[in-house]
Amino acid sequence: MLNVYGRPDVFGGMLAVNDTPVDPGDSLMEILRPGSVKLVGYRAEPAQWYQDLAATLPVTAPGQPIRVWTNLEAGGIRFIQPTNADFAPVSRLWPRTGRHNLFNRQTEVPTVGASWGVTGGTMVDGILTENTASSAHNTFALGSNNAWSPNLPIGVRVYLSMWVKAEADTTVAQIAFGATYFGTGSFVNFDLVSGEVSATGCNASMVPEAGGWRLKADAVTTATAASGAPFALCLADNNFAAGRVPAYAGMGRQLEWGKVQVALSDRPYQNVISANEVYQAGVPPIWWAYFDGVDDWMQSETPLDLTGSDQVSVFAGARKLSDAAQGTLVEFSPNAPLAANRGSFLLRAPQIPAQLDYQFFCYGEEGGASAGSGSGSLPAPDAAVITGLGNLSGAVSFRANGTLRATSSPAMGGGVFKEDTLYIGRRGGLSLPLNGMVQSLAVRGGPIPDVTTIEAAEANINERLGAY
Amino acid sequence: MRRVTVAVANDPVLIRGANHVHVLLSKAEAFNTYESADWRDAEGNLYCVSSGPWTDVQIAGVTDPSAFEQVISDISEQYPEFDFESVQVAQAAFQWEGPAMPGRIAAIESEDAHYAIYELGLSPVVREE
Repeated sequence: MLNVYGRPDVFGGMLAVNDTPVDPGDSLMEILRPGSVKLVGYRAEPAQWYQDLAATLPVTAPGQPIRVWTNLEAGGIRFIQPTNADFAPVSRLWPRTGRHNLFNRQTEVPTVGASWGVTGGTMVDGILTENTASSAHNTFALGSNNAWSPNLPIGVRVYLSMWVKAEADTTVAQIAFGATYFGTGSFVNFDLVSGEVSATGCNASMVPEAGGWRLKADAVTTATAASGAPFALCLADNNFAAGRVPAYAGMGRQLEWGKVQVALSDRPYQNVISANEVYQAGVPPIWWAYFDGVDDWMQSETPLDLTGSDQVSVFAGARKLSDAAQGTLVEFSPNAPLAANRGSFLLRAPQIPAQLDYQFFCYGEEGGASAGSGSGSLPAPDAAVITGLGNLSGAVSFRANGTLRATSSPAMGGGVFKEDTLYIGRRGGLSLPLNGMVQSLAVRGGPIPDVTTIEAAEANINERLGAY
Repeated sequence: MRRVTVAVANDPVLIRGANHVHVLLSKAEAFNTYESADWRDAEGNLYCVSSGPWTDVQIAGVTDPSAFEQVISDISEQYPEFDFESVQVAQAAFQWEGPAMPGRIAAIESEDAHYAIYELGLSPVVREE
């Protein structure tokens, strides 16, 4: 029997005792152990999680709270959520490269409701009716600035699919990709009588379906927009040769539409029936610990003692779900002041929301240093293998997806790392919540390993994550 | 379990009551669910927000005064300082719909916490560190 990674399913036989998980073969811990003075490691697997603080109720399904996250090594320091079930992250099972349907819990975007806006028309029971003669561009658009609007990053191919049926003299429909995301040159006109397609700046097709047509179009984003509709369905004045903003002459035409689907990247539509129905051909699902970006966090059950080293290496496999606010992926300190942070480190996701980044910090006796992924480099949503390397007597380096991104070497004043609580998901359990998911995490005290070892550890994490 | 996101208006009485309700629902071992008003509505009013998985029993019990009668009896010994009046205030202010408003505890069930927060009409108070 093969597990979801295509390897022999040895977990079932080896995890009879739930708190002594053993990673088969190519273990992250085995890679990182040589030369370390302290090593803790965590992987998102139900076998390592419990729903209760007493560790009597194992996590068995997606959506369950994680109150205890055991170490990859028996007897190693565990993460716990000590006081509150609402603060606990929850288990999730997603395709390893991410979930590609933008809309939770449904295959279809709703065709009515607050998520949509109408210009120059009305939308009743799925019927779009033009009613304003002066409008040049009667549309029904996926609304901007709301929760359905995905704040699409640059360079992502967006697929649209919708069913339409001509009513009341309509012969031409247009899909216009939003100018703020796609520029002004991406649109397609559909002749609802002949089945002819005229696409500009995008791909498009149409096939008969259920008395109407299934229209499909896809285009690549050219900007990250803070506002603006991702796309609009337009009544195009029955002019097949019309431009992106068709001339408008009359009123009263109608178009019935529905079954709208939206998907990201070069993948077929993913049939997401529910939050947990995420299986997709060729994309194995993996487990994640989901931190909701509101109040979820965990802390090491006992302090982590890194006093034996002035160097630390932090490896994480994570999926940042939002860049809207500063988020704490991991932090070796409960608070911010430098005086209390000597000998600490932290990893933010993001550090600066506008820069869509990750950043790693270390604090020595006299000051701090940081290195990050760089502005605009890793916009959410995106899975990444993140590595922070810190030497309090030397430099701080940041790697992402197997590549060195930045090194910084201001004087930190030396010293050694301290003994303190390790937090994930929220600074000190109080602020800067992470809106994202964690798949793997390892903290290694001791001399920073050589590049071959670092790359092996990153590859080990990426074997599950599929980030690069 | 279903994810529930709750916004409590930044009123000490409501916050105290909501924290007590969470303990009564066995969602928390401490009165710390709502401590920091990190969210605001369009008018600038502040709110404490929690989000997490709730059981059907917890969802049904949160607005039902009778649901806590036995629990309160049991819990009195564990928490001598328990404030029963604040529980009643919180239950009376609790509503299963948005938007968040002053004087109200508003809750929305959604798999996506941030969709729920949008429906509650809230945005984060940015406190970058």
